[in-house]
Amino acid sequence: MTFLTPLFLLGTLAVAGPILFHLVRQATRDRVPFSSLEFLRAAPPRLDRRSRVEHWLLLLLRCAAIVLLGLGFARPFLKGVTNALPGTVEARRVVVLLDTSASLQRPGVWDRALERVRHHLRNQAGIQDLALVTFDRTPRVVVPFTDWRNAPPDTRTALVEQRLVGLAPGWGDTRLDTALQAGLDLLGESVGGPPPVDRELIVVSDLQEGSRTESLQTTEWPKGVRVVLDGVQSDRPGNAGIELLTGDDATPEASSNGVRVRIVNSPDATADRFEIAWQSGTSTTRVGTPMAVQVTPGQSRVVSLPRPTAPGADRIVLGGDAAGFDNTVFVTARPTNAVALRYVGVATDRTSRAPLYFLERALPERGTPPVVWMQQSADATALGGFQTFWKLTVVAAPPSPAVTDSIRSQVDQGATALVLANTPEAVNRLGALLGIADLTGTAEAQPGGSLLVDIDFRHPLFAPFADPRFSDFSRMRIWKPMRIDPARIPGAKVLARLDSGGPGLLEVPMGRGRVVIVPWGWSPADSQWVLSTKFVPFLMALLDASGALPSDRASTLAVGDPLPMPSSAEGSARELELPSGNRVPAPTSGANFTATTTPGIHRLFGEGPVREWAVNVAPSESRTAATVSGVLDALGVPLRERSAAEVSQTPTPAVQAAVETEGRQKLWRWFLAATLLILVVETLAAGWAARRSKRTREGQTP
Amino acid sequence: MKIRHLEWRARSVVEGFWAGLHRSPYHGFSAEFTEYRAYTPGDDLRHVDWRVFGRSDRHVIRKFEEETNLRCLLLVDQSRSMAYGSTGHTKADYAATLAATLARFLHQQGDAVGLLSFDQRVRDYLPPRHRASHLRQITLALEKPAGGTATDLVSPLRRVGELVRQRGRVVMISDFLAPLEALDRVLGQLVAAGQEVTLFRVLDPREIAFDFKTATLFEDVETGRTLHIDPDAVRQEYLDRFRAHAEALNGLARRLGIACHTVPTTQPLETLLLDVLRARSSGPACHRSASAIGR
Repeated sequence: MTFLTPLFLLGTLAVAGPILFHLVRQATRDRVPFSSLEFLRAAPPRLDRRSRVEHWLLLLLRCAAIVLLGLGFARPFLKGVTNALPGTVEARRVVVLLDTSASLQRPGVWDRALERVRHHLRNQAGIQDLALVTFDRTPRVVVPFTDWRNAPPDTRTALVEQRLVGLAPGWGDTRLDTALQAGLDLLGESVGGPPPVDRELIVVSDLQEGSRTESLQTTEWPKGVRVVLDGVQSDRPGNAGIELLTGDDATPEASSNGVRVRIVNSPDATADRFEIAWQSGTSTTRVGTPMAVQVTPGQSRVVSLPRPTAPGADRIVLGGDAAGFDNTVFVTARPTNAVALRYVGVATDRTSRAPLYFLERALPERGTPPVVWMQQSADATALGGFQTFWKLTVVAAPPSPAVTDSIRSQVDQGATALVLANTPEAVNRLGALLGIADLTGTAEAQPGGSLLVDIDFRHPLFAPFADPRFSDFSRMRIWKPMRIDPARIPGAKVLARLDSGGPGLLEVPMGRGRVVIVPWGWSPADSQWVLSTKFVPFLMALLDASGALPSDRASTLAVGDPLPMPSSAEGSARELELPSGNRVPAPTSGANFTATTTPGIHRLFGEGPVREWAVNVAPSESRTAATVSGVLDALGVPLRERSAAEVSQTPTPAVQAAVETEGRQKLWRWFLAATLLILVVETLAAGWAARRSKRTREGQTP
Repeated sequence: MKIRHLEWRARSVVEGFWAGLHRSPYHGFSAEFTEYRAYTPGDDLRHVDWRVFGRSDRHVIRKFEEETNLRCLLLVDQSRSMAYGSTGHTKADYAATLAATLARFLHQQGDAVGLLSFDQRVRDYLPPRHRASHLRQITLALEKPAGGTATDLVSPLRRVGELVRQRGRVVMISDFLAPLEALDRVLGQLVAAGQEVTLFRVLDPREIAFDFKTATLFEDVETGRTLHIDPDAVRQEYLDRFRAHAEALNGLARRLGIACHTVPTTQPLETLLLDVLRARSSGPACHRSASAIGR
């Protein structure tokens, strides 16, 4: 018999205790009172070995209990016996979740993570199924259960090692919740039978503060599943990161002067002096003057870095931080991802009478979103072979047949056309667009102007005004409306009426798109519409309803975010240039480009201007303090953290084998059971002996 | 000893003994005559018998009603050694019952009875009187538990010599488990002063026989001293020394001509009183109870 923790055998020395107590008790046990010791002299009982220990059985039982307890704690096992005792093997299913997020690029972290995975591979005792899953933003199964099971037991380690060779930390952010849920799903899978009861998720990660854990709030953890957090740390503590501020964070004033960035310094950092500078993609030299920034550890600071005058600068680099994975932020050239819309009108009319004048002011190029109005002459007789797909077309003048055909085909494909039918001719052309012959309208000006009534506030175009605070259209007068008979337009839906009786706004579905008919003009001479407070919200609702608003409102995206491909005409060929310089075919319109695996500028070449997206490392990756375990604990994740002793000592193969053998045999259980049994017998025997000696004493004591 | 209350216990002994006494030839050693005489001016009004006045309309002086011809002082040992007992009651219980019985017996005869209890010092002193309430006070004093860490036989007797000037009787109840050296002199002084001294030596049967079986730790109930003792080894020696001590006491009594009764706590009190009366009639001597040592 061999012992796993032989030091506990020293505990058996406590057997001296009962022996001593048995001898000592003999001498000092009971006292018999007597009236006077005057006539007595001391005559101690004769001390021979036989007479000193009274209760041999009790002594033996007590000694045996202590010895067995000591042996049990020493974790005994039989070396030659490899077969497990019945019922002692507990099959385990293990999923190793290996973090490959960008923060693992810090010095030394990835090597340590691989070492920890290898350590868990060595400790295969009782593992029935093992799967290796890497995760950053999305989990990826590297070694599924089936591969592990199908491989011969002695080649399993090599199999996983082989798969580990090709792995490296990427640029994605850490979505620990998704990874844990994927691991949980894997643990619950049936692989040739029901899953074992004992299931373990081993998370090898830097356990950074920026890990996402939100969706774990609703996760139910089945019984028998435990999560082992195996944290790995960097050689150098601390990390600083740079983040591009966009959207609400960046004021228009700042964005006009430069680019606002936030520099974050972690609490355990040692450095507090950094500098930021523009850099071009083609060379590593800095462009312009670097800016020195001081950020105390645990704090962040927002600075505005002016754009350089020299072209080509597309990134801002943070200097002074050792962990370089999050020290570069890519910035697209301005204006970024403006929404392009088509305006069909009189090309020469740019006066304040033309609707374009008001459209350009309501939705300016530097607004949010930036909107570029592409003008098209209404009387163009021929359009080129290459046509951009416009999600929204505003028709402010009667279009020529060629333009009408273009509008109709795009509406059929899903575009939206807003037609101002404020003249009989415009109504006539509208009929041509809708395919209705002889569609006519009559001007019906009434003194004092008409008002919009019976507005359908449930419709998306008027939904922004549904609140009673904004639903008052009684101050907006229309001087020269046209009366169109809605009955003549199949499928037309009247969204609002004029108080004079005619329709105020119509919507006509056509193909996959729709035509919105406004039977009154937008110039101030025709109506008060463009001057009213309802105009801009209406246009925004129109943009929203037409799908013209880009889904990527922010001009910067994180690695792994999909690039929303703008709509294009069918059949047009587009190419997407990746940060590496390679060009890949862009997905068709409406689909997203999802393979944003590297930070950098992604450019879309094809029709129209080149579109750019800056893809950066997610700012959350810069928060590298290893504090997520507390969050997981609070979320009810059944954690079992690796102890410091486990971290520091890596057992030798011999010790590992001994641990495994002992773990299978578990002889300590029998020793413990025997100890308990002996203690029960000892209790009964002691009770019997106590009763007997009490009877004896009663015969002696008065 | 089965009756818990000391006063009732003493009364039951005395009544039983009194009933048997009428058939005894030794009764009436202290019968007292009470006299009335006519009131004369100048007599203390406290001595007028108002009951007679109520019945006969005559003023009569009650004379010698409370006087007695015998004054007896009971000396009772209440040291802790008396708290030992192996028969269901302690020596102190037995001694208290004996004292209470004697007090009641003497009271019924019309004698004045007093009490002096002691351990290593005098605890209570009630001078001899003949009143019903006095008997009660004696009983209360006797009911006090044993105390003290030693037994001093000399000082109480010396104190008696100082307190009691009139001739009378002194009854000392103790286990006499104490040095006897100075006892000789002080008892001699009492006897010389005209006191009739009687000693009752109360002992537990185990003290007499020392019939312990197993080796164990013996604890002195008085001093708390402990000794490891194998009874078989020391029994004979103990008995010899115990007997020598008893002999010394008896010899002392004989020399001084005082009565000394050795009383095991198993002896019924009625028979003890009878023995005492019989012995008194036959003159002072030291006596052993029928169940005492020596068998």
